[in-house]
Order: sequence, then structure tokens, then C-alpha cells
Amino acid sequence: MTDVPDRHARLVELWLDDQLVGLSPEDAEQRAALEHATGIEADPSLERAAAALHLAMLEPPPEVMPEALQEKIVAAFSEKAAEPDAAPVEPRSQAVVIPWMPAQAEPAEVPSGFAIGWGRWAATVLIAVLVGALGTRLFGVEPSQNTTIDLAPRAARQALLADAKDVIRLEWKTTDNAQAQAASGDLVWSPSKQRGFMRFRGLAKNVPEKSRYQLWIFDQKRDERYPVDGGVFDIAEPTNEIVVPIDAKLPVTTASLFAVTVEPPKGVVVSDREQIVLTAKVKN
Amino acid sequence: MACRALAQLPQEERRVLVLASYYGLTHQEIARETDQPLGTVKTRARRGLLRLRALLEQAPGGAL
Repeated sequence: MTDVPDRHARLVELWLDDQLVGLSPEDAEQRAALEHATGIEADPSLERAAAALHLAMLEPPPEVMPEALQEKIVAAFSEKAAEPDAAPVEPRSQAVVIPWMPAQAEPAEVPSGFAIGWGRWAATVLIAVLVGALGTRLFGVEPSQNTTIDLAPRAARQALLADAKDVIRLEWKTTDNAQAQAASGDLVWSPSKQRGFMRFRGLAKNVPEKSRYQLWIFDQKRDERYPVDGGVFDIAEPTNEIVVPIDAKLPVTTASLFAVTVEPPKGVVVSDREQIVLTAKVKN
Repeated sequence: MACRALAQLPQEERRVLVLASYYGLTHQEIARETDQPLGTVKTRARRGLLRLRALLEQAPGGAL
């Protein structure tokens, strides 16, 4: 039997982890069991400290972006805009992997074959630069480059969590579909902002030329036969955690269920629902 | 105020908190990205948040 001080210490660890990175189902279970056994409830000051931390992340860097860097970005933006074929191209709804840039670095090169419009490219560069500037300011050291973590959707997800008051967070539930057997993750959705993000870990890799994943959002205000298309996306690396923005094609009034299906490469307007891999039901 | 409190944390604790809070990385991902043992990352994250709470409580007017 664990000593009471040990149990309390473990409980504090779990509270802290929960505020910062969230708990695995096993840890959440342990937390509930320990809270029940000790009769101690979570310390609200930890939640407030975590909220303050998230707020700190929203504050703009005090240092103005170096003028030279700003000029480079504007110049790059203008050059791209002047290209004859610079019409924005609809991007694939896939997590964007951007290099983690130090504040003084050159703007990110756009990978060849990276089909994005110039406006989005410029936005991506700006995000990368600002993220790099913030990281450098807070770390006091320049972070390593060449990371493969998809920072842009992650940062956007964190910003939504910190900014929107009505965010719902749901855990994915797997079906018996083989592609979802090792899958886990969650989904966040803000009804007021009509924005959200999906996180996946272990969802089977797809071959975009053969099939793609597609999100469906069931809206209580709509005919359930016609859920809202939440966008198509790919899983390139099933072992890495991937954050995918939700791309709802229609306004969602009252989301009741989110479902991921496997569809043909271009996605479909109405799914036959033969291959449902993940679902997340909104609790009423 | 929170930003100032964050700036007072030891660099490694601050770094872990930012990676977790701003970038949404998990303990495992932070360990991999920063080349630190997982246990070290967890300890720094927890200590950092506790220290941040203490700093905010001590701040004029009490942020908490």
C-alpha cells in the first residue's frame, strides 16, 4: 500500500501533467482513483497558473521583428505575388511541417511540390518567424533546426484552446476498422469560431493516390444523412502525433458527432460510411 | 505579468513549459526534441509550473 504522502505527491504530479500536457487514459484513471482514495480535489491554483502560462504565450514578443528580416519577408511576399502563376492553390488538408527557425534566420524555403498559394506561403513564413522569435526570446538560446514536429497546426491549436471560451475536447474512439486499431488522439472544436483541430497518433498511414481520410461533422440542426464535410487529410507517419486543422465546408450549429471515414482520393460529397475508422461523440 | 514571471524561471524549466504550452508537445516529444531524459523533462515541467504559480502568487496584487 502506498503511503499517503506518496499518494499525495503522485496526485500533484498528475494534476501538473494534466494542466500542461494532458493525461493518458491510464493516468486519468489513476488520478480519479487517487482523488477518490485521498478525498483531495485538484488544486485550482495550478489550473490558474497553467492559464497564466497560456496567456503568456499569447503576448506578442516585446522585441520588434528585425527590420532586415521584415524587409526580406515583404520582398519575398511581393515577388511571389508578382509571379504569373501565383494564383492561390487549394492546399491539401494535411498537417504542414515547417522548420523551426531561429529569429535571425532566412525565411523558410518552400519545399518543391508544396502546393500552396503565395498568401498562405507568406503566412506560413510569418508564423515560422514569429514562432522562432518567441522561442528564442523565451529560451535565451536558439532552438535546433530541422525538427520534424509540425509546429504551425500545434501552435494554432494551442491558440484556439487559449482564446476560445467554448472549446469542446473529445477523445477519438476507434471502430473495428483495421486502419484504426492503434489509433488514439482527440479533437477540439470551437462552435463560436467554427474552428477546430484533430490530433492523431497511430492512425494507419494512407496512400493518397488510393484513399484519403475524411472528417464528417454531424450537426443536430441538419439532416443526419448529410453531415458536414470536415475536410480530407492524409497520415504520412502513423507513429508521430499529427495535428490536422478541421476544414468545415458549411457552418456547424450544434455538433453532435465527429467521424473519420476512408474515402477515394478526392474525397466525397456524401459518404457511403462503409469505412468508418474513428468517432467522437459530443456529450449532451 | 505572466510573461515576466515566466522569464524568471530557470532556462531549462522555461524551455520545457514553452514547448509544452505554446507548441503543444508531449513529454516524450520534448524529450526527443531537446535530447533530455523523459524523467528530466517531466520533473522540469512540473517544477516549472509550480515555480510559476509561486511567482504569480508573490506578484503585486497576486495574479492568482
